[in-house]
Amino acid sequence: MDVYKIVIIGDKDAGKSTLIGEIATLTKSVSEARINEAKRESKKLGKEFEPAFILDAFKEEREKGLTIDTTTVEIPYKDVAFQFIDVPGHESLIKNMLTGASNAEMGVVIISAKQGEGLTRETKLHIKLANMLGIDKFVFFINKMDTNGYSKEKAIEIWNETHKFLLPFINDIKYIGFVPGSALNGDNILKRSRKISWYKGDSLMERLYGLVKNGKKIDKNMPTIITLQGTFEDKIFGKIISGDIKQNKVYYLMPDNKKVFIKLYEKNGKSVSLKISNFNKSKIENKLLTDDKNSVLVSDLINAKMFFIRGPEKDFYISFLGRKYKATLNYKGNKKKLLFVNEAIKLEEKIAYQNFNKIKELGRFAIYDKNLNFNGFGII
Amino acid sequence: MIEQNLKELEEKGIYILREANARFKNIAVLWSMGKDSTAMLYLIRKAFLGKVPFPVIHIDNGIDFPESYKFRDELAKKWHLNLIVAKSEIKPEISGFSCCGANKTEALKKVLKDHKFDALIVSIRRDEHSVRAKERIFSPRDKNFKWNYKDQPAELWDDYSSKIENEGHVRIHPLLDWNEIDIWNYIKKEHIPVNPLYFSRNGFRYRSLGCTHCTVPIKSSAKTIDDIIKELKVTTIEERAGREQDKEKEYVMQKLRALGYM
Repeated sequence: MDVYKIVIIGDKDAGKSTLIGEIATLTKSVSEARINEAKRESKKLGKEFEPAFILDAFKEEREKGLTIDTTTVEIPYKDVAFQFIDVPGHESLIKNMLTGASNAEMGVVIISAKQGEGLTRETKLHIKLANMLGIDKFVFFINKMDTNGYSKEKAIEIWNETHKFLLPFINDIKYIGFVPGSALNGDNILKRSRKISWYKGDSLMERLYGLVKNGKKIDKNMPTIITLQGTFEDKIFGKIISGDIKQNKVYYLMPDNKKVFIKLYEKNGKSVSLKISNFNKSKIENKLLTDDKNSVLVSDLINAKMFFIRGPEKDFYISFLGRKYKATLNYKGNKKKLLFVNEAIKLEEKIAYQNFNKIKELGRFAIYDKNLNFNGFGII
Repeated sequence: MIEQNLKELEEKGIYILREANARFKNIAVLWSMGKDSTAMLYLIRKAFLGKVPFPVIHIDNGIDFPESYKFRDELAKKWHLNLIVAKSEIKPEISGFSCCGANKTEALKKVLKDHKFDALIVSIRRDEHSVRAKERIFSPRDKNFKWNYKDQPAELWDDYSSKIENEGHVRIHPLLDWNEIDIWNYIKKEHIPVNPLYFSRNGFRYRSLGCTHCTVPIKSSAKTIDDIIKELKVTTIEERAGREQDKEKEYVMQKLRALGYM
């Protein structure tokens, strides 16, 4: 069964965990025991059934009514399955939000239509971050419509506001859709709700299904790129990022720009083990192989769009293809937290990379501070 | 229960294991002789060209099923495992939470310390328990085995760059994304040896294996892997319903895991 990963983003209390919990309950995708446990614990805390408790499994999460860490629930739907990724909405938990969102293919943005909530600063930040991580398809779920009598005016007001916000980076977005509903009451989740008669579109699940069915993309004629993972005995492990590996072909070891001869030893899908002639085995990590040396760029000075959780620093580390490099940034602007910065960084050594919009695996990195604590990410 | 693409799961599992190998100096594998950790040993053999290049730890409290011991010894021989049997004490008056906590976890602590292991490959899966669903692929533990679940490290894409916190170790979870049914499909596809306790005898079988004190069998007529897969497609019962520690009290799994349980 094809599984599609969808991150649910939005402000705290917009109803992210509730939505996924409700979908899981309606579709019976989690066991009765898990639903019963959530019901029992809801009751103990003096609440009616909280569908969010199906995901928010930590005691602290339930008592405080917030999601601390990301989790996933799989929902079978027709001939596919959706893996919904729940993330925290609180600003202080942004690293957990990024962890969840980094693995998603598309996003559902929840905006609360309750008086005084709406398209908040945190929601906007989540959309920007998800888009920077490469998510370019968004379905906006206008939640809590039951609190305003399923008002068409209120939904359109939020709709217009969201459009206005998206306008500056609309080129980076391939699809947006809107569905008004209520996660708690199950309106427009699986089926179209009669309570919102003015809305003639799809329910949320129908909309997501339509998106995955029309969105298959196939890579053709891509150069071969294999990132190297380390050694084992006399073999080298690697992962095929694009193209396919062939015997008796010339490959270049990058960033060294050195011609090598490789022998394929074993292949399991995209995981390969190789033997490479004329190379120094101890210096193989962090490098890659390609049959077209123009398919990657090589430099120690890299322009990147970066997001710093606790603000930018002069000296920090980037983790690129899982390996850490010292980086220096000359940035004179303000250094407030949750900052987007477009600047060049200088690395301790040259790396082979590519622009994110060409080969995403070679155009992204995580940012760590001097003490190796996570502080954001960057896109080349 | 969703059946996922085995090729993709296997590929990701191999990637994770090889990343662990590139990053840590002294890795060990935890093996309970259950279906998950046995399938994981098989996956390790695939990742490392037919070998299990790490020591394999069995935490033995002396009250595992006789079938499990037999299975352990036979497979250890067949796959040339470097087996470390870490004896854990068992006190008859203690069961459930304190049993797994005090006994198994303590024995594991000792063996990790004695051998100075810096990483431990463990076969937990997200679909087993909603607390395990919150785990990372590379999950650090401090020297007291504490899992700081309120402040887990970020893990973007497939960048597993957790640092080891003050002399602790990192748990590696290559099967985190797998479902129970994926494990059985994989066992079937790859003809992986499996503990006989999983198959029905006299109308009962074990769906999840712990020790003899806290595991009870479920009613089942599943005598083959195909029967088990068929059964899982329609069941609404939790996999670990037969494990006493899980249902004994609320948040037992969270407490156990925070203290370093598997």
